[in-house]
Amino acid sequence: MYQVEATANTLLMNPQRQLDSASAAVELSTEAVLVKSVLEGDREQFAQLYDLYARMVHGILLARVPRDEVDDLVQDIFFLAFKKLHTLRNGAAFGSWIAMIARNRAMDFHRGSRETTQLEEDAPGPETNETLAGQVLDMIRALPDAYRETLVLRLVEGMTGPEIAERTGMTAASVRVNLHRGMKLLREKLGFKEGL
Amino acid sequence: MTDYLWDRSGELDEDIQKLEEILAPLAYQPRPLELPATAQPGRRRNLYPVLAIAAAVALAALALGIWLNINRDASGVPQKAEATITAAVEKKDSPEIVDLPLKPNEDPKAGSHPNPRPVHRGTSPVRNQLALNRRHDRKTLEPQTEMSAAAALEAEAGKEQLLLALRLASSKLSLAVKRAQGGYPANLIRNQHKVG
Repeated sequence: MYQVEATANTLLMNPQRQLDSASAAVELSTEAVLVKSVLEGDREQFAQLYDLYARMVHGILLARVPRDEVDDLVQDIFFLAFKKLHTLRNGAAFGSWIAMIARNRAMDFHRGSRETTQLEEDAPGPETNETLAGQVLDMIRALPDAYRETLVLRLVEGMTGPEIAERTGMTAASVRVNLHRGMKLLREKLGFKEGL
Repeated sequence: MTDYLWDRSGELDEDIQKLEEILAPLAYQPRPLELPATAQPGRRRNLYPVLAIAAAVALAALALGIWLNINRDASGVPQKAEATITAAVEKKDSPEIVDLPLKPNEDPKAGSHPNPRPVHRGTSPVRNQLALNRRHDRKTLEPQTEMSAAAALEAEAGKEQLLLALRLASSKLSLAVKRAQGGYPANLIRNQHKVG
């Protein structure tokens, strides 16, 4: 009896979750339609895909490459995706596909680039919000790979957990675990106490 | 753990909110997509014409192989034996080949062949040569030097078969080229299959 009530609570008393899943389904079909339109020659539709996924691609890159390279790499990745769009068999999987392109492009960037140092962060100066953000971002980048991408998407890009799962193609459970474990590690690094 | 980290629901987590405020300047700033004016998405490669051409070539090769095999079988032992006999007759005197009556212990019905086996009298070299040729395997025979009229007819028939096979292959190739040029819809057969 208790389990039945709990299930009813989950299904009926939380309309926000229902709304999220319904809107996700609509958006998946929207992506498939957009991909099909672009392949049929309507290249203007690609701008809508860009609007939907530029933030995610920006976050994936920000977790891996220097900040001043991110904006140009976002453009490069969408240009590459535009040229290779015909290789995408399932248009609904555009998000996970372009996320994989972004991760591979970030790896290529590190393979092809020489060792560089960012002088602005090393030089002592007044602690502005910008430099503080850079320091926190460096701490997030020092976390394991699975955690830093999810944390950047959540804390920097402002995406929610369900949105991250939907956009990147990861399961909601994986995103939740990555968020909580990554946040725990980040709290330890920053000196925050759990639960504060 | 609160749900605020997952979907910003539940009790507000001050640490996370503080991190969000610090990292906000690094978030994605919308920027228009810059695609080259001449850029076009690639097209899916249709493998059907390539497969059709490969199948036609394989069919032609198969037909050629079958024809060669048949031709070799048809021009095998009889022609070689005949050629050997002719050569032997030209070299030596005409042999005496006489049909001897059947021996008493031989069944006359068993030998109901219209041409009973000839028995050679004497020890002429021609008779020895014939006996030797009968025992020899077809592979050990000497190469053929002359071609009888029957063999020539068979060769002519084989040649016609080869030409027919080549014509068939040519028609298959032209059909494949027409399909590659868009003469027929690529999924015509598939659609018929679905309807059927």
